[in-house]
Amino acid sequence: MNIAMNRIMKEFKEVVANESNGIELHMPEGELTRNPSNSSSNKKEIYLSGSLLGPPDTPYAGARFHVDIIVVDTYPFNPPKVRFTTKIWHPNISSVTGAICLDILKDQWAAAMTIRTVLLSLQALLATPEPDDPQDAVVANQYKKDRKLFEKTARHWANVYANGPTPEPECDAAVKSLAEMGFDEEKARAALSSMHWNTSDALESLCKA
Amino acid sequence: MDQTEVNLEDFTCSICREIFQSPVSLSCPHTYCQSCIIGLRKHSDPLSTSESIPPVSSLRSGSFSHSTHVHQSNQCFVCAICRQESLGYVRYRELENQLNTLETSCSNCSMIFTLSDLRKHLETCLPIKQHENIQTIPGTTIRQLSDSQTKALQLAQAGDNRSTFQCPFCPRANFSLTHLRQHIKKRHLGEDQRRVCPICSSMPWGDKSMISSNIYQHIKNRHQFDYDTYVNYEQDEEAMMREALQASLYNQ
Repeated sequence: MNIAMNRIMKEFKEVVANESNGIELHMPEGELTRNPSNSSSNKKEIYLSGSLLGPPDTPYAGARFHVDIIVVDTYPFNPPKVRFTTKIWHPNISSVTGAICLDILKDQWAAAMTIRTVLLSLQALLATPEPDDPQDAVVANQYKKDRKLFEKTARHWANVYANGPTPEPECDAAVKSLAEMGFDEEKARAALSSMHWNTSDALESLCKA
Repeated sequence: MDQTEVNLEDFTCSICREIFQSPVSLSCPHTYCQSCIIGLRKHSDPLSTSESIPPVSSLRSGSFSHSTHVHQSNQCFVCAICRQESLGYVRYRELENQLNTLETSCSNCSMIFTLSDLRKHLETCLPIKQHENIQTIPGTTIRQLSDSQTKALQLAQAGDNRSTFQCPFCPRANFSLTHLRQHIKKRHLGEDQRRVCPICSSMPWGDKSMISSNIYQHIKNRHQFDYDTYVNYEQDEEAMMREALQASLYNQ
């Protein structure tokens, strides 16, 4: 545990000391370490949270996305577990769970990498999606088949969930109309996004669910 | 040795992000601390650091140019930077020598250390705080004053002697401000720097229970002029500082 904790303390200072790339790293208040919920062993994990600013010239520009970072006790020899807590429309990030498909968080991790490099890589991932190695097949499909619609949807999600600067009035109206029928707004938005903003298709999928 | 040339980044292990300790190289040839490299073994539990890898004295032919000492083992290491695999590792003697000879100053307290001593020092050196309240300091750091110090302190507090001071570390007394600064720099920089400032405590406004967390820095920054020159002991310190500054303007 010691090496993981010492490294995190040093990295924390580094991020705080020199960050101009729109990434932030936060320590939780109170207890820093917890036992993993699914295990009975006494291995400790460090829970951090971070955030990154959407890169310019992308649908995510100007929006701030938050991530949960779990540092395992074998860090830095094993990668941290990272997940988006802000909902996001992106081929390599699950629109439901926030799970991320990124090689350096899996087999391409190297011990010299840091939380800072992870956050910067996530920022790069937002700028250059990899639709051929998708986490969210529906989003990836839309990205490949109808780039304009994908960008509109991503911008709408960024505006609604991440304080993005550009509203998409058509999307807002479509979500509102379904919400007025009594559907949960978040579910309505997810259904519309998956059904290429076709209201009757979205309605059908909402009724089936 | 030239102190300004040292870039700490060049001597930092990218696994623990501290100054190298017993540096070893892989064949790529990236360098890490010997204790950090154990986590890089392929197909191993990174936490079982208790097993050590026995060094073998036989030399392997020229694959590692900068060392004569080869640790051979059947272990395969995956580099943390380039992911290249290496069989075994070598001690990096040249770097080890540099760590023991190159000197640089601590960014917190500006004391000068060799790089290997700086690593140990950084574990305990905290960023300077001007004053720390006495309650937060464990009792062990509060020392008994020697006889000469007690006498000097009594004199000072009685207002009889405010131009010379006792050393907060050793029994010597009767230092002028400049000499006290030089004395601490020469004799006591390696010691725990948490001390009551003898200058502050001999002044009528001084708090005798305040412990400076770094006495040398405190004296250097806080007491930059001999009080006798400017001080009217009836005034408070701020007013005097203003007066002193004004006087310095008129002098120009």
